[in-house]
Amino acid sequence: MLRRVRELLINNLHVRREPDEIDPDAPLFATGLGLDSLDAVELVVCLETAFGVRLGDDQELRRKTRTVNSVVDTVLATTETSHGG
Amino acid sequence: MAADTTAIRLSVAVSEASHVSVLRVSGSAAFDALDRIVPRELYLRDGQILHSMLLKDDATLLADLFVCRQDESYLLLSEGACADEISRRLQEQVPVGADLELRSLAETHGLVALDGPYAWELLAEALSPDVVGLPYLGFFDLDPWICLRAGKTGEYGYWLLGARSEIPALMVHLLEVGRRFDVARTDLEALDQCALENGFFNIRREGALELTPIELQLQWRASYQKDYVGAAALRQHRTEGARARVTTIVGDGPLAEGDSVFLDGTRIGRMVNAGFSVTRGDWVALALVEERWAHPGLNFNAAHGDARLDVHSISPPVINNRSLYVHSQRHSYRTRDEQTFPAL
Amino acid sequence: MTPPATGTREPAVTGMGAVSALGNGCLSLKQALDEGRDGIAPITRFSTEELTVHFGAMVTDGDSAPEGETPDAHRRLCVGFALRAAREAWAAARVDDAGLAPDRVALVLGTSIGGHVDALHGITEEVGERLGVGGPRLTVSTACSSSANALDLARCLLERGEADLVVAGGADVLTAEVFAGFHALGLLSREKCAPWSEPYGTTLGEGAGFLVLESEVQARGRGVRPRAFLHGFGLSSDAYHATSPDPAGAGVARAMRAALDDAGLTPDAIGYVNAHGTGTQANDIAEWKAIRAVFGPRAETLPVSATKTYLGHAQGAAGVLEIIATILCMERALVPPTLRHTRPRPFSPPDSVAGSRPRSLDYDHAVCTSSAFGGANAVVVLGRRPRELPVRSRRPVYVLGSGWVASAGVGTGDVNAAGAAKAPGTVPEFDLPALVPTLDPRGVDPASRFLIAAAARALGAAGIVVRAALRERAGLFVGALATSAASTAEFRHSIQERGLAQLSATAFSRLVLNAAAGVCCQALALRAPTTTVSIGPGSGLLALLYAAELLSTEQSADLMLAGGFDEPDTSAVARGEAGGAACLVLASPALALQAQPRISVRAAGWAIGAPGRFASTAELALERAAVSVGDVDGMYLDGPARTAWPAQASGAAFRGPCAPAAEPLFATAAALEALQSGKARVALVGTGAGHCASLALVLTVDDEPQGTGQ
Repeated sequence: MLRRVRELLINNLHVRREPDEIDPDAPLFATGLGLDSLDAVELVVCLETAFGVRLGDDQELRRKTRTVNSVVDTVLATTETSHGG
Repeated sequence: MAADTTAIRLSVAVSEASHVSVLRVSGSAAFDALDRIVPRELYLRDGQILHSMLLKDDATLLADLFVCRQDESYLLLSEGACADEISRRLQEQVPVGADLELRSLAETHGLVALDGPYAWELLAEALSPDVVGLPYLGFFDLDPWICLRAGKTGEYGYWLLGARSEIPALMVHLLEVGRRFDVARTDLEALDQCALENGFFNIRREGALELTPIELQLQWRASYQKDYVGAAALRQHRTEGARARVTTIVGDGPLAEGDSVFLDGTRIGRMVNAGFSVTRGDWVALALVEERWAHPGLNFNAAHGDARLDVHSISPPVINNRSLYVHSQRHSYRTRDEQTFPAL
Repeated sequence: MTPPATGTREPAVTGMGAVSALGNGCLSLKQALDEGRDGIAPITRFSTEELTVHFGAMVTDGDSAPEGETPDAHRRLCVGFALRAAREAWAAARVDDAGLAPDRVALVLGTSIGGHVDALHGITEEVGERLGVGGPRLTVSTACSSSANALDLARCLLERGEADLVVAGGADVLTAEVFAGFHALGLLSREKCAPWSEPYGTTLGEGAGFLVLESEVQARGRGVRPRAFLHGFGLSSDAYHATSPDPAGAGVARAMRAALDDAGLTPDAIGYVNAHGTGTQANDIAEWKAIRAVFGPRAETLPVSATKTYLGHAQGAAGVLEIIATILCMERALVPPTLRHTRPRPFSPPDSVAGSRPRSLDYDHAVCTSSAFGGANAVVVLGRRPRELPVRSRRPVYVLGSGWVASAGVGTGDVNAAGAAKAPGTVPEFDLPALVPTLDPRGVDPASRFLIAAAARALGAAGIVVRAALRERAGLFVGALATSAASTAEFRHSIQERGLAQLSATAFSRLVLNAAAGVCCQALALRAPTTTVSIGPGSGLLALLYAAELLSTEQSADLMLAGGFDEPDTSAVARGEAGGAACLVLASPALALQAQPRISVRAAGWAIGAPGRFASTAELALERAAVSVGDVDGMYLDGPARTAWPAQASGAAFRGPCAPAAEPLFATAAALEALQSGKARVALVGTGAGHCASLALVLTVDDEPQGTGQ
């Protein structure tokens, strides 16, 4: 899943890094990978399209997308619940 | 420690940041010189701050670095390497006689730090409402101070840079105005613990152990596309592949730097930074473990003295920072009880 | 010898026309203002089912029956709104009684509709044609500040004497895509917008507004009484971010100060501020900071209101509609209120005229501000009586350097001499980080890359580094036909693949015509006036002439970059169009003195003339330059200009890369090289293409020691 999230960041959010360069605990916004408010919108859409993750409100969004690993955790939690497990 | 940590996490704490060296770099050769020692691309707008680092030739960490662009000159705020050392490195990058001016602010200037979910509000009341809306990693002139928004606790964090002689009066003023914010004075130890909890690299702890950016998960502060001091060694490390990586661990029992980490009886790594979290009520640590186990959600054991403790890995930040839910244009410390906040 | 300006610098508003959510006509608008009735309602024209917001301020009167969400339908609607509003203004000003030749009447139309229709300038052309405007028909497209900016360009035409009467304003349509785009950005309020109150967010709208502008003397000559006077204008660039304003409000403050200076007024003279006031968190606080910075302690008691609470955010038409609302109130000693101001935010105007009816207030002058995506700010200062400001003297304008991007790469001077031309349609390749090392290339589309590279190269050729105080005195004017093809395709694709509710917000932010100019200002830290204009082919030259006009008469800039860019889509490439950009550096005498070129070149004369009238336009430019056609030893005209002036035009037409907006700037770059290298002493650059305007520029070698011109 980490690999898939890295790929999403590279392909859809145009992060100019190789997959192995993306530290799992790297922050996503403002610093770290340097995504901005426009990218945040795109990220939400991509997460939903690719993984079926629906991120609720603004607060939840910020909490669940702080680092690459946060996103992975969020996706895994969603796929777990959707598989009823 | 408890009272000031509470302030950092719930209101605002004030401290003097004497561990930071400040260097001003200007002249037409400034950009080129900097570009050759800062591992990251210097994509900076005027008034913007870049969080990067300095490496030694063998690619291990030398300093934690903020690069601030003020028009065509730069302010470097460094932890771990002093201004003179950085000056020396910069001089080495340009021909003799190049137009490069370097001025250490160590003797003349000091820094005051404000950290906490309402740090912005204390600053707005004590100095100027212009601070509201300053983006993270931005800075501006707040005469006679330069106000920088950085912070390594996961809360709103600001530095005020100015003349050393003005700092005592400023501290008095901030503490006075801060009374209605339940302000507390704090120190580096408490701030370092908060940094650990929020996944911020610490040059004084894990940064002092000759580790590489790959092991420390700091590749984002570097670029593989450019040349700088330590670039070759870093590329080499990357080609070889990381054997170990830091991961964040939490547990109920005491944890300390140096404690070993085990998985099913096999030693897989050691703690490189640890401390008790007043906020969480348990122990938080950064452990350097074998790469294949450096992922969140795994159960390990830690050896602390004779004790064997259950611990598990987790994605940082491990605090649900109050600052995530405080909007600097909508919320006030005064009315905080009218709002329901999620648990920290 | 630089002659003083001939026409009026303080246009009188002699007619007004409005089409908006408040109804058809200024009377409907006035009644709604007086009754506290807004035009915001659930949208019926297109489905908002998938989205979380359903409110809009739509035009519901007249022929706005749903025709579907196609570019053609939007275009028809936009033209329809514009014509209704323009005709109302025309009739109110009794323009037919003025006895003016059609080519002495001009049209300047501001619209944001950007990449959502093809050939933006075609809207202005059609409106001009059907109104009977025979003079220049110019389009300004700077997103939400378009119509306010359009009024400044209109003033330039009047002041210079290019027209005797200008119909100026803007028009815009709220399309499903634009709505979805703002929705994706999280900028829309779920309720009716409530600037400085709650909830946060804006409400989009549409409509058209036009003013008839002319000299007071001419109006009174036919017995028409002016409603108001436009005393001064200020433009600026935030140079911050594509969709977020500079949080410090510095750009808006700069534009306000520039407008006040232009009007010869101090902040104390202002009785009311009509704010951009969209209701979004980012805009409202930045704007408030700007107001505080400019007005100081007075800001605590100054009435500041947001008429978007009535009209919604009419995008490109917002500026002019809000000016009309201000005039309708000011002339009756009233200020419009901010509706729905029930829960004041911290850091907002203490007196936001909260209420549901206009308040009585007698005042002489008002400030109206507009801000936009791409950081383009436009401020207008208006009043009830003329200020009778002195005629402005003109200072010389120097041309210091050129830069371009074409299939040959990045270069300066004559593109045809630059080496082997590659196959048509070859995308220019170049190393942008080498030119601008501090720019993060992530998310920068090809159009922006071309423009930035051309601008950076031009600054290099001119020997100028934009640093420190110069940044606030350096601006960028751009001419273009269309938004970036790559961004437009990315936008369309995201809708096809993911649906309207999940379109790409990043691509949407690039779908305004001034997006490339915005990124360029950010990259090069250009904070003085900025604009993006279009006349179809030749747009770049209009940007240059407008920039020259600003430098020669105003105090808000010392350096103006003038550029044009083209990024053709696949069908245009198939027609042989190339991508590329060209940029010229224009400077004030003081800056030219510092740059010390070996041979200094001046923009000695220029003219913006009626479409199809290249001959007379060229002759006027030559006359203003105090040279005769016989003196011209370098002609750089496009095909249509040459055809229109067969007797005088010598040599072959200038053939640049086939890039319609940038073409005349490639020609100007070649002319500049010829003059700087001593091969020529007087050059004429011109474009006669399209049906919007004829443009001519005379460049001469300056024999006088620099700085001793007027």
